[in-house]
Amino acid sequence: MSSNERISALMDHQLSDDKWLADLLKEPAQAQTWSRYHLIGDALRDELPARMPLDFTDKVMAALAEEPTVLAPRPSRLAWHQLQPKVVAFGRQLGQYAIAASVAAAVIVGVQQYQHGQNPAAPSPVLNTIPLAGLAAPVSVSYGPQAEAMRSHQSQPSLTEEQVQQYQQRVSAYLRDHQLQQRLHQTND
Amino acid sequence: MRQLAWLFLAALLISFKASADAPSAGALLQQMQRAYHHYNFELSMVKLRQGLLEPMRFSHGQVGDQDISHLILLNGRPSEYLRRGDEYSFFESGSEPYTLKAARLPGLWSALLEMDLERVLQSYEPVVAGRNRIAGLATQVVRLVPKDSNKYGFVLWLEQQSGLLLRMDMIDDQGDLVEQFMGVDLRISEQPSPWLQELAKAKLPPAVALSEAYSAKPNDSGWEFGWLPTGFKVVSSDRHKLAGLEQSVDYVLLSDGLVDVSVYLAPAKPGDVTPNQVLMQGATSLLTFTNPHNVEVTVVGEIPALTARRIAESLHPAAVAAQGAAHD
Repeated sequence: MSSNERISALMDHQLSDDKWLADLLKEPAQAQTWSRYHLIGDALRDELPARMPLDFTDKVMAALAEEPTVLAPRPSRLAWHQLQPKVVAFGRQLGQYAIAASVAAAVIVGVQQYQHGQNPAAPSPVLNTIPLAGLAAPVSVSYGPQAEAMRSHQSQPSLTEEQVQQYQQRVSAYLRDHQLQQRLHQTND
Repeated sequence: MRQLAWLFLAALLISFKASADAPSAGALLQQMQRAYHHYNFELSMVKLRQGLLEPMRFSHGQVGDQDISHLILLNGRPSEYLRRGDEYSFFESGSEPYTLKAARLPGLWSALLEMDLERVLQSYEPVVAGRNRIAGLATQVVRLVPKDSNKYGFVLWLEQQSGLLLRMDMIDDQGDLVEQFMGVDLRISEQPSPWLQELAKAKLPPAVALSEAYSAKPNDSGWEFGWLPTGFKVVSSDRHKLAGLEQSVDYVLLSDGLVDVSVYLAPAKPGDVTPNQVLMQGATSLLTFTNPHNVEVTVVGEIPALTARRIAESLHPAAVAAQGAAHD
C-alpha cells in the first residue's frame, strides 16, 4: 500500500496500526495529505464551514511554539534559563518599567461614571457603563434587575472611541502599577 | 433507661469540656499560618469574581532546608510565581521572567498566609463561625470582621486536622460576596511533590534587590490624608512614572497589614475624559476623582468604592502650609 492509500484506508477506519499513525503525524507532508483528504471528504459530504480556516493546524502549532517559556511542565520547560544574560540586562537597565510591563494587563470589564454627591457603590439604573475590552458585564457588585437596566445603557454618546481607549489605557496602567507595588512591598514591613 | 440517662449526661459533659477547650479564632489563624509553612501540600482552587472563574494551583513544600511556594494560573496565558526562601520569581507570558528579593507573591491568598497577624487583628475582629465541609474535608470557619465597616470582611475555611486555608470569601458590609477563592482539592503528602523538588533545583533568573529593580526614591507628596479606614497606614510614598504612560505621578501605598491601597496624584489635564469614574473588579475598586485643587486623584485597592472615594476626598495639602497659616 502506498502511503496515500494508507491514509485513505485510515480515514475509512480500515487501518488500526497505531505506530504508523504516529509516524504519519510526525511527517508534515503526510499530515498535509491527511488533512487534505479530510477536507475532500468534508466537501463531498457538504460539511464545509462557510469560511475555511485553511492552515488552521499550522496556526495553532505556530502559536504554541511562540508561547513564552514558563515553568509549566512541558518538554522544554527549563529552557528559559538560556535567556539569562537578557535577564541580567533587564535588572540593570530597565528596572521598574520592565517589571511593571510584565504585570499581566488587567481584564477591564466595564466602567461606571458617577456624579458629585452620588454614592458610587449604589449605582442607579441611569448610570452609564462604558463597555471596555469588548465585554459588557455589569461592573458593580449589585446584580439583579439594576444590572439588566445598566446593560441597556451601555452606550456613552459623549465619549468618542478614542477617548474610551485612552481611558482604558490609563486604567490599565494604574491597575498594573498597583499590582507592581504590591509585589515590591512586603505586608510585614 | 437509667443507664441511658447517665450516658446522655456523660456525653453532655464531654461536649461541654470540648467546647471549653475549643481553640480561639486567633489561635486558629496562627495555626493556619504555621500549617502553611509546615505541610507539603498541593491545593487546586478557583477564584471567582464577577461571575468569572479562574482556576489556579497553589503548592508548598519543604525541600531540604528550602521553603518553597508555587502558584500557577491554569487557564489562558500562563503565569507562574515561585517563592524559594526569600527570593520571588515571576513568570508571565510576554515578558522575561525575573527574580526579586524580599518581594511578595500576588494575591490576597498569599497575603493572608504571610500577614502579620498581630497587626491585622488590630483592625479586624476574629470570630469562630462554626464548621463546614470544603473540598470534601471538615473545616473550621473563622471570620475576620473589620472593626471599620468601610472595609471588606473575610470568611476563612480552615481544614480541621491541619489548619490549612481551604477557602476565602471577601464580603461587603451587607454580607454580600465580593470575591472568592474556593479550594476544590487538597493533597497533603509526606514528601514535597516531585515538581517542587525539581523547582528547588531549577536555575532561576538571578535575584535582583528591590532597590536595584525599583529606583524611585522615597518622596513626600506634600499631601495629607484627612481620613483613612481603621488600621491603614502609609507604607511608602514616592514619585514615579507609570509604565505605558509618559506621566509622572506622586504615589502613596497604604496598607492595613492585609489589604493594599494605592493612591496616585497627578495634575488634572484640561479636557481630560471622564474626571469622576469608578471601576470595580471583584474586590478591587479603581476610582478617579478630580479634587478642588485641580489634582486628579486615583485610588486603587481591595476596598469598597465608597471608601476609595472618601480617601480621595480626604486628601489635602500637607500640614506645613496649614500650620503656617495658623501662625499668621
